[in-house]
Amino acid sequence: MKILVCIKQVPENMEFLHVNSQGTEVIIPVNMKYRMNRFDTHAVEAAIAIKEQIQETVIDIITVGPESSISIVKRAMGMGADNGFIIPDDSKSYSSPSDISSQLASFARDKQYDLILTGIMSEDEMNAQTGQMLAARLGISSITGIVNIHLMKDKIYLEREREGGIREFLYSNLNKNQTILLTIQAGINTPRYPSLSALLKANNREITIVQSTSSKEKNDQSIIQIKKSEKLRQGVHLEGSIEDKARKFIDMMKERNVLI
Amino acid sequence: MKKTKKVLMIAEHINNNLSPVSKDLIACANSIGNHMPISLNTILIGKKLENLAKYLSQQGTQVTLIESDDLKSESTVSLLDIAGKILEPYIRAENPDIIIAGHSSFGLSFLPQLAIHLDASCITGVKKITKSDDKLVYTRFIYNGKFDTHICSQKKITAITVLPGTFSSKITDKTEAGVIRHLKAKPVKKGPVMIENISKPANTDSSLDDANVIVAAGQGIGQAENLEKIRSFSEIFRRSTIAGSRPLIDMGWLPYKYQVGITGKTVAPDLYLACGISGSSQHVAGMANSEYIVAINTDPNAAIFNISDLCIVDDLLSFIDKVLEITGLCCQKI
Repeated sequence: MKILVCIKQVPENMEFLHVNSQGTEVIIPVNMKYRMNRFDTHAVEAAIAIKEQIQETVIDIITVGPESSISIVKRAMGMGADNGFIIPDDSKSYSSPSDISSQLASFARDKQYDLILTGIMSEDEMNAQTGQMLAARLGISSITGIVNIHLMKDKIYLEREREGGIREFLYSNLNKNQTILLTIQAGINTPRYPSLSALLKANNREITIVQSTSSKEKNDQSIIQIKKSEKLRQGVHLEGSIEDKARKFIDMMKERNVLI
Repeated sequence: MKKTKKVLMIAEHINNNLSPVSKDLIACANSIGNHMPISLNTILIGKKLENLAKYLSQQGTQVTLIESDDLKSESTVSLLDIAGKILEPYIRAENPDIIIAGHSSFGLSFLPQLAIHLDASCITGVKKITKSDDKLVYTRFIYNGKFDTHICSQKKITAITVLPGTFSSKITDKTEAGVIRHLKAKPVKKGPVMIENISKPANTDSSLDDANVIVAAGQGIGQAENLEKIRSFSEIFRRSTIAGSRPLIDMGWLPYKYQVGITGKTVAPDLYLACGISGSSQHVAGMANSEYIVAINTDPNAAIFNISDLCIVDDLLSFIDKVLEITGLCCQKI
């Protein structure tokens, strides 16, 4: 089985971000550490779980991003993936999912993957589009929001989450000539921590730099402005010591007539 | 005179009922209508949906019912996996300016792919639409709800998904039932993934629907054991229950039926207390319509405070202890 997992890096901590004075981009402090997008860690773990079940599985990891993204590729390899690739993208301007998916497609096309996995969305841009768009560009099926993968004989069984606790139970024959793309929802598994020795080994592995062959299309969308998210309700702040706040809170709740 | 924009909505249904997000689609379309003249058409894919079509047609939209032989009762494929293929030829013929779907498992299962095939710009999780220089500006959350980004489409067709609960849907007077068209979809080429069955909704405790007060816990409670404290806190309120945010449920701290948010339950109690919840858009979409919202969080910049009526920046567990201590004393006095 040949699996590709698409991952991206996100800032380790969202708390210290702010917007530049022109309101055109999110400023990430220079000393900010980056980590793998949480949903992508679940995708990597899902791929490794398959590898543990089916011998001769090869897992490729790809990311599109600045060169610093190499560290998340190495982490995925420390978790158990085989080969790492990066498509360098240092552009300061926003790359839309359409753009990223086109770069990923130029890499994945003709590589005959059986499965392509990626997180359901990224924690920073939160588009939840890139996987589906990659599938559209490759002309393959994509199944979104997967919360369970189970292999038996030559079939793959999938569980997709829908609203209100409804689940769809799906299956497919594992067929050499048909790639399936899955976007992975959190909750499918618990991503493993790579052991120190595995991390050290991964650190010495070569990450292949792939130059994107897809021509950069004219942006399909442009960002007009970014700002601190709007207040939808004008909240009252309780001030004072914790005791003051607690007393005031209880009084307010009494007024609303909700206490027992 | 300004050119009328053609707006196409893709409505959702489940168990022969319109999904709640269908209301959000109409509210979103009406918001576009505040900026420019629009013509509305709503698509429903499926069988025996005449009642739903009639209801929709009374909301000021034309309705197109698309029936597909690929979705017979013994269907072997999920609607989610062929909806895009069913819609594509129809949308090409219709040539809309804006396509609106829900920010839901259904909408997200086909809209990004359609956008690629139709050379459209795809903007997901839209929560507000304004106009600047004669162009529509779409607002969506980024960075877990910390920032808003305002986006303009550079393509002729714009495909958007609407974040539930963000467009105010004041009940408009029903209009005369509009035109309902019936279409038969061309058979589509199916993918390799088949459907075995669809589970019933998780056995939802009706307690979330019935409660006047919901005390919801997030990752900020630190560890599973602290849920007991949340439970005690909820017990000082009348007709109350507890709930949790997605990360908490994923970690197995609470069963699925207690999840509030986009993939869980949508609630609107009289009082919602968000305890240690950061306020990601995924969570907010499930509780934004609550009557009164209280947030307790140590991070003064947490996005949850943007939607709260009462903001308490403090250590959650110490605050709850204090409240329990004081209410305990009050009770003794009586």
